[in-house]
Amino acid sequence: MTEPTRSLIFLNGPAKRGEWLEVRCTLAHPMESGHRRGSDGQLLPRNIVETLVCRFKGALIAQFRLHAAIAANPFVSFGFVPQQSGTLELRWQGQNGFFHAASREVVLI
Amino acid sequence: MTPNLASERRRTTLKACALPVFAVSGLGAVSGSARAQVGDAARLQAAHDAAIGQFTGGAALTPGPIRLEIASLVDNGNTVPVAVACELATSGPRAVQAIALFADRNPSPEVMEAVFSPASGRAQLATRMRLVTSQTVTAIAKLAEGTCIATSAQVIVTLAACLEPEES
Repeated sequence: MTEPTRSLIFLNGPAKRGEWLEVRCTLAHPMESGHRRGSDGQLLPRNIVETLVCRFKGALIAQFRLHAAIAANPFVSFGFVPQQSGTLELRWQGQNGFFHAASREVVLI
Repeated sequence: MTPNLASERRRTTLKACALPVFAVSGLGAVSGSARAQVGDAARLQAAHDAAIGQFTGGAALTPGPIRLEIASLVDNGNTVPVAVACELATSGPRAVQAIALFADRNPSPEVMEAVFSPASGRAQLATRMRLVTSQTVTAIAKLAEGTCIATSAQVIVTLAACLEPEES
């Protein structure tokens, strides 16, 4: 009965041709660092999101390598310069086969 | 933590009475933990420098137009906003190819690496990180020409990132 992974993509600003547009994304994920102990005293195994890949209209914009020092529910803000309207795709991958993809339409005004 | 220190002190007192010369393992709780901290600090610093060397490929860290924004006093080390902005472009001969963040007293020094493309426009990112103790956070931008520019910030952490058992 696992719930679907939740993520949020927020475009901070009007999308204008040739102008830098900030993208803020958050993913619901515990980012278990591997240094915490459970109530039984045993170390909780590390379970983190490791990569975030961002593509716009299929072309790679940016890639991020996340480590255990990234806080839970990893938040990343970055930006890109759209020349056309299109689809922004974000893909997260992590340990234990974790994978999540989300997209947002970018409509230039 | 307190119960362990108290029992350690009891054990240390008994050992001190039994042996005129302190064995290494019989050192008192305070000095033992201080020695452990020094050892840990050296090990963490070595891991931190090695991680930076792996990112930079051995290039020296030079000052440059890179800005690291992070609070100097942090209430909660579990989630610390951090932003890095480098004023150089993401295309061209002096383009920023990647930006990495490091923390020199976390269990692992790496925080994040970001690789940009010409479509990125700006070498700018923000995230939220964990800090287990007061330490120095370093941001390094790797340029296409092979050089690295870097800046650091000292952060005092009031409440460390969670290393304690969670209360369910």
